[in-house]
Amino acid sequence: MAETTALAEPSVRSLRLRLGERLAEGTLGAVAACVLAFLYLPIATLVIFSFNDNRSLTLPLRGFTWRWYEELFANDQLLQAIWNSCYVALSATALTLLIGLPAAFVLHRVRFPGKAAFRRVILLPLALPGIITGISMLNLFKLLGVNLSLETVIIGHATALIAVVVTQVYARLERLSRNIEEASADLGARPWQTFLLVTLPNIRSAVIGSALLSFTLSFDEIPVTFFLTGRDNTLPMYIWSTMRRGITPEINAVGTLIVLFSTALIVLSVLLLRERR
Amino acid sequence: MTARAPIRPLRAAILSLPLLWTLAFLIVPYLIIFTISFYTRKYPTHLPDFQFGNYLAIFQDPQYYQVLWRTAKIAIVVALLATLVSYPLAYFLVFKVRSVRLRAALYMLVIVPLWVSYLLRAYTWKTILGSEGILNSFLMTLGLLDGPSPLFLYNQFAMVVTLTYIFVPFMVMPIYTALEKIPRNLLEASGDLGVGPLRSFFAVTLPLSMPGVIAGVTFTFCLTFGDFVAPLLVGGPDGQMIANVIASQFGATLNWPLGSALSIVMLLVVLAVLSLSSRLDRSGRVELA
Amino acid sequence: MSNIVEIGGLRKTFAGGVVAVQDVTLAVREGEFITLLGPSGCGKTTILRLIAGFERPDRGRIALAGTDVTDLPPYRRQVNMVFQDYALFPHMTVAQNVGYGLRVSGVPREEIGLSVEAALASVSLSDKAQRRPHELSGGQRQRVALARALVRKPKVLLLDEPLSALDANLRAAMQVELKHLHERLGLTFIMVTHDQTEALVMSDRVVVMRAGRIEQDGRPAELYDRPRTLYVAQFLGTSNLLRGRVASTAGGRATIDCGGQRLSATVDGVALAVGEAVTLCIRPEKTVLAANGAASAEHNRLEGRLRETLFHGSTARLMVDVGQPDAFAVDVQLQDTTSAVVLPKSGDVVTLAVHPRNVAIFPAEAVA
Repeated sequence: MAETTALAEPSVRSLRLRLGERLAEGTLGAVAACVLAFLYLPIATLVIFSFNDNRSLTLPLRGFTWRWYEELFANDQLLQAIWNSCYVALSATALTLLIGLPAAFVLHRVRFPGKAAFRRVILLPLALPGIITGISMLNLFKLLGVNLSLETVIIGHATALIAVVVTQVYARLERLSRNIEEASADLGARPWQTFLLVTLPNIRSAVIGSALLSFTLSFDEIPVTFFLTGRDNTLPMYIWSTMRRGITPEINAVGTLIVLFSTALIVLSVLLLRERR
Repeated sequence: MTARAPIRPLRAAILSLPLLWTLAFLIVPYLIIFTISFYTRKYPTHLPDFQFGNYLAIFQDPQYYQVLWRTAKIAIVVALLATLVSYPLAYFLVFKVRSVRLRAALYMLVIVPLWVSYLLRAYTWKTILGSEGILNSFLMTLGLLDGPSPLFLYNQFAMVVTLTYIFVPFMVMPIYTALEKIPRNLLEASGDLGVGPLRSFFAVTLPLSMPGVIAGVTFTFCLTFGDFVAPLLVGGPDGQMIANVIASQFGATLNWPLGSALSIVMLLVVLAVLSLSSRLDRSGRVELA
Repeated sequence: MSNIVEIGGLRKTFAGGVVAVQDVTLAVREGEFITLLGPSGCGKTTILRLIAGFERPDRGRIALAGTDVTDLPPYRRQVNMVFQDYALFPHMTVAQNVGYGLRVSGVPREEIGLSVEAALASVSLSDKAQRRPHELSGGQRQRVALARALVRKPKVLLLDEPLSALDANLRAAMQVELKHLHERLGLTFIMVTHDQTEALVMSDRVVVMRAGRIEQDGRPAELYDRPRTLYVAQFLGTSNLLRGRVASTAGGRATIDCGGQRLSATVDGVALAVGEAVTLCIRPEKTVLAANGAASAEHNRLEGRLRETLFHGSTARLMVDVGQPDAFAVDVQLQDTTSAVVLPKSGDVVTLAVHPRNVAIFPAEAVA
């Protein structure tokens, strides 16, 4: 009997402890759920109101309509802005890869004086507010007498986004075993063959991932675009200028389309990047 | 070890492209604004000069130093709030979600908003907090408010909410990564030694996840510090931030030298925060080693 | 016989001033299986990498089949390497891996197919052609790496610690397999290892390296039986070291006083002064228990107290306290009837016997 009580006593204590743990876990779960809700409620609002048959964005909901989407597709300015954004984002992404890939290789493979400084400068736009990149390049273009246009925006975006490509590709190169490249050279492959047949396929996920991210960020960019664009508007600039005038349901419709498009991009990237394990 | 490879012209050209680009579009432009920041304004342009008047103005004219201070305050509050919101979520995902697939899916769910337009995410708060907005109409239906309240939008509160919302995914990412790196057996060892879960957390988990927290705070602070979209969308008259002041110097006010000086100050603040964070991070790592 | 690889005055320094290889000269004969043996950091892998062309020497030349290749990049050298972790291309199938070396040289597709088939058949992996490296076991990856290197028909096959990633049983099997492969192909093999057993079992010649230099170079038995330095003696097999002083020398024999016990040793060529401090080196298996009756009058007698007996299966190792810092190990063969050998018990006083020609004598340098 004495033994059982000796055993039973701590079990009551541990029960209480486990209860406390359960409670803490429950609270933590609730907090996590709230944060996730916090992240998604605004996006949900955007989507829901894009179908709400009411020009002002107030509750209660008034019923389903496609009207805002119809208005959207009848808006030439908006369509032009979408087209401009696609042009800018595609060109900027291509340019970013063209510069970012060699930059990642230089940082990973080549030793040269001033390398640490080069690394710092090229990665700076990652943490540096876009406005500084925008303003400093605006100054450069003014000094050179270059007219502002979508092309100057492309250069600005590419410069700001190189850091994205460099960090992702560099991290992949770090994990890439150097000896498969040596094995390739050993087996008679020229450096360009090694690059195309061995290196590139193995850093593919980082290249695709950073390209998709660059595209999205460029498509959505405001601060650099604000300073570097001429008369042409990109989509976010157009949305922004209408938005400052007031809230309209068309913006919700565009927003919903963008959410849809972003989701498609994410799904695409997940499919493309699924690692063959 | 890198073998000394013979330098071929094509290879050299490809590899020097990023160096030249960085020089032309990052270093030179920074040097230009640095130079202009010492120029004198002569409406509507400016004259080459070397004087510290622009910098003096920033630190003497309350109009500028108050905005700077306010911007810093907002950035700090946003960084702290985002940490408070993100840490429990990251912790929950790493330690409490046992299924690997579910964890990956939930993590993905946190990251997805990053891919959705920044502008739209800021804009939704305008629709939520506005006097004709969802929050107001919701509170009115509940009977908590008699009429629409203008208190939610166009002030610092609205900005803090909006910016925190935007940077939460940014914050979750590094904290999640840091927590994931903590070896489980370390926590088991701590539990095995009779240390309670709460003390284990403060003695083991929290210190080991600090690099992630530092990275998140650094990014959030720097990006908030230079934000100029949220203030214009949801900030009111007292919600102007330094980036808006800079933008107006290059826009309506046409005072490029002052705008440049302000940009340089912003650049220096960001650089200071970055180097402070990398120093903290390094000293933290040494302690852990 | 002609030399397929000739290395002269090779020196390689790495960043930070670490001298990996200093002044190494070595000739490898065609068809030889040669092993560079030494602890990690002795420069053996660097030599292999210099031959392959991944590193360039600071000084010295490397010739391959009579042609100077010192300044040629790896892809212009007719040598192929089996990497320590195999370095298989993870994004290619086994067949693509093996065919890679032919593909980049522009060999026609059909020809590649045939060569790959033959190469895979020779390492018995024909059924795994369409697998990816991560789907294979360690031993299978090893074979793919071999097939991939051999399909190029190199003049020399370089093997960098080829067996170190395998478990003990597989390693023993692969040692024999590689040895047979070498005999079958008649190709020159240069292997790097830190495993002395591997070196002794597989190679025609072993080069023992120490701190970037060649310490001794010879056939396995030669190195084992007549190590030129204490370092080699210690690195290959187990050695008992006895410290002592030269008591007398006469007629190719020296008598050494080791803490009161006198041992005589055969001296070849080394001049010893009376009173000089020396270290004696005696192999455990060259020592017998005097009580078992195998010792002649010529044998040295060494007295000690048995500390413990370690059972090894076919042998037992007796650890005997002979008044030296370390216990003296003696290996006793255990015949089919264990009773035939009478093993002493711990604490017993035993007499060991060892022939003077099995006592190697070295100047008393600091024991590594």
